[in-house]
Amino acid sequence: MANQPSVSELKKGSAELLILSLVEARARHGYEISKMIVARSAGDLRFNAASLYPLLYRLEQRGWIEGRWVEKANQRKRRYYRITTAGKKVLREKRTTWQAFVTAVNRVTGVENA
Amino acid sequence: MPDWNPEIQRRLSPMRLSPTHEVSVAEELAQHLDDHYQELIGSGTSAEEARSAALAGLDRHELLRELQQLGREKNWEPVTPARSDTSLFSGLGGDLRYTARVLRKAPGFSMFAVLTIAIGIAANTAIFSIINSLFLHPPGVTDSDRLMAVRAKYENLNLKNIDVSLTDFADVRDHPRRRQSKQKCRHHAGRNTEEQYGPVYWSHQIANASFRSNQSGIPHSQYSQSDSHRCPARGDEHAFNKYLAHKVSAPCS
Repeated sequence: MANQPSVSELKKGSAELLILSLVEARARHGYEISKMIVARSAGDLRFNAASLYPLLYRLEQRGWIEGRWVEKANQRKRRYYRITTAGKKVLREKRTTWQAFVTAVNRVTGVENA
Repeated sequence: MPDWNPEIQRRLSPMRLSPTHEVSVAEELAQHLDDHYQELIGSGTSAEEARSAALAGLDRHELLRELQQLGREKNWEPVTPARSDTSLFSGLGGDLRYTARVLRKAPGFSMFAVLTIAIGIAANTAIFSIINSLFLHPPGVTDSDRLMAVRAKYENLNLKNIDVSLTDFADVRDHPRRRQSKQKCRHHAGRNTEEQYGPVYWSHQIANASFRSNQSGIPHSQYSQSDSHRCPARGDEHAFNKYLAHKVSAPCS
């Protein structure tokens, strides 16, 4: 596979994949994203504020997500992030790459046949 | 709800974030800590424990490392949130802290800016002082805004607007009834009043007058082009000073 990312990049890239996946359906704010990661991973994955927000800013800088301050009635202003067209394209590529990576790891480790 | 700003500012202050970035990041982190805190309180955690737990997720070193790495990348410009507090001075303290921090980060630029402003103020003050002393308050003249020029009109001689001599000046000083405003002069023109047999005087205010001494030591006036009427050029200085001090109650417009 041409230009296949290294393992370390895949590890790092998994965080980006998680966030892009969570904001794919609708816009979410940072705390909501962190809670969903914990909930969907049954507590195995956690992002604290110190790592989550710099990551969100990085994805925004790359043009994959877009943050916007929204003020709703009787609620505090929040910054909601939604995926962009470029982000959707990146998400498709990352999903494919991640699936191929996991499949390959499973084959090597024999997890598939376990 | 705890005030998270001091803790957040303490974590953000070592970073080289622009004030715009810092405001945006601080606001968002405060919201995250609020949400976490409220959730813990709702689950029965004490306020102090909830506060400590919320802050534990904001590790200083991790935040520093991540944001510094992000800061090295270009075009990072988060949108600054609008303030919900509409008070005029609500953000004054924060603005001052940002200003002090930005100035401290760039001492060379700060010094240059301060010197530029200082030189600008000094130059402005110097120029105003010169203009003030030369044109607005010329030396030797007090109350220059009350300075008047006296003009005379001789109807029978068909002299509508001439300078006054010292004798005329003494006349107008001693016969106030002959002194009128320019408007009244026009009103009485051609009528059979006693002023038709003698001069009628009026005065008008002199704007932007400056004075100097001529070669004989007798001061005379120089007026702006719009006020080209000249004061009496002859006579002794005492008379001229009296002329200057002459108070006319109704200057012509």
